[in-house]
Amino acid sequence: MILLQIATADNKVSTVLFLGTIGMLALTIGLIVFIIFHQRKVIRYQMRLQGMEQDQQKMLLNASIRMQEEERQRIAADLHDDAGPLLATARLYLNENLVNLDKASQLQSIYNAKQIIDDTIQLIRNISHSLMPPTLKNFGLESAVNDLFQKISGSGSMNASSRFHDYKERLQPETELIIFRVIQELVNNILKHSNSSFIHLTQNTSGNKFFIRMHHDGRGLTQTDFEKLNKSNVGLGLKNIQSRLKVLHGRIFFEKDMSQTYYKVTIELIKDEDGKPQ
Amino acid sequence: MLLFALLSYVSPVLPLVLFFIYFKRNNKLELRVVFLYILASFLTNLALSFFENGRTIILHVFTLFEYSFFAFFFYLVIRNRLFRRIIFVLSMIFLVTAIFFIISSAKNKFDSLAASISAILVIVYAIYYFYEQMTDPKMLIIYQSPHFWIATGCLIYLAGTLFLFLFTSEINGNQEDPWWGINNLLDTIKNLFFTIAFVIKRDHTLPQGFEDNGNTNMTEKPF
Repeated sequence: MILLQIATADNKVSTVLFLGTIGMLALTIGLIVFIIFHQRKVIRYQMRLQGMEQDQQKMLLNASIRMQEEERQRIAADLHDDAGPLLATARLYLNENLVNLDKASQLQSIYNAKQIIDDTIQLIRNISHSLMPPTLKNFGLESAVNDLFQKISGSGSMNASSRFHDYKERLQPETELIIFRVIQELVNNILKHSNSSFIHLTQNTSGNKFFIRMHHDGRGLTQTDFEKLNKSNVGLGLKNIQSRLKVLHGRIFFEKDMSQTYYKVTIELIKDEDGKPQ
Repeated sequence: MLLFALLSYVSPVLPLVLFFIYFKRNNKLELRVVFLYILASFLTNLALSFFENGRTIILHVFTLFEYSFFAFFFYLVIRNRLFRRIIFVLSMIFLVTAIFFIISSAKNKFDSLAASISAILVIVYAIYYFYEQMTDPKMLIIYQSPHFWIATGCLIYLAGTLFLFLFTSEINGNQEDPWWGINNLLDTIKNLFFTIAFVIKRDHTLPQGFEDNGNTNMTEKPF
């Protein structure tokens, strides 16, 4: 009604005023509508990202639980299938009839039982070492990795070497264990799938970051492959690596070397105030 | 036209009353500033109807008050320190110059320039406020914030009346003039937005339609 009255005014100023006012109002309303719709779109986008992150977390958690279960099953199987029969056999040698046997037979039985118990001790030691490598516990990450690589090289199937540049003092035991497990898993994958002739590991630091890099010349993964496997239901080991690194706020990158000859895996960790990875 | 004038006169009562009813949720400095502005606006309307002779001086003073209240409101709600400093400096320059011109210029004439400049400055502050909200990564629905409704009210009122202030000398001061009808209508709308700001529930949960349906299709980008 007002605008109608204004529009009918034949004054030039009125026209400018009319158009100016309408234009300003249209611009303002347009701006506000744009802001509201833009914000709704941004929120939807953020929600989707959050959803994806939650799914990823769920998958990592599942992977970690499955890994734990598999580890438990392996230990149970080792104990049940190896230690159990060994101890049962030792018990047979040491049964009540032993006292009724002649001296030579008694000595033979005791000797056999002792041998079996020694084997069992060795077996349990092996299980315990696989749970927590003593080199890692006593001498640190560098020695444990060198030890692991020496064993691989010793097998003759692959040449493995490692070099730690900035590892002057030991990290937190839990941190070292996590890093070692990640390296172990990566090495396992390389041994199983890559068909490479060598693995070389280097460690160094740069600014507030702690890097571990591994090179190999076999078939490897790129970051895209890693992300694909991480989102799929396969690649349990990779998910496990991801969940372990998440604890340390670390990241992992898979890439093909510039020369397209080597595959490179980089583990990146952030150092805390003491200069050690968190 | 008189209906719009009447609405404009009585519309401040609504946010004033609701401010007190929902005092607990409105007891924040920036909202108290808006409350004081509405009160000043209401008292100015009353004064304009009582003092026919001093209308121009009342309008002069109200222009300065209006600018100061809005500038202070945006100073409080904008987070960028540099822009807050800019608001402060621009406000000082504007207020000193406006007071000087009001004193030196004709006392019986509405200061169109000061009103227009004040409107432009507040529009700039409001647009910056919206820009800041848009770039804020925090997940909060913008229209659940009272600041949004206040900024919207300011923006619509000042953008709609900017040309009116610029051409004040060309139109007559009679309240029956349709142009003043626009001013009164926008003033009423502004007061309605302020009312929404005072009654709106600060609910930080997401409204319907935002529930995550598990669809992880990332083809839709926000920009």
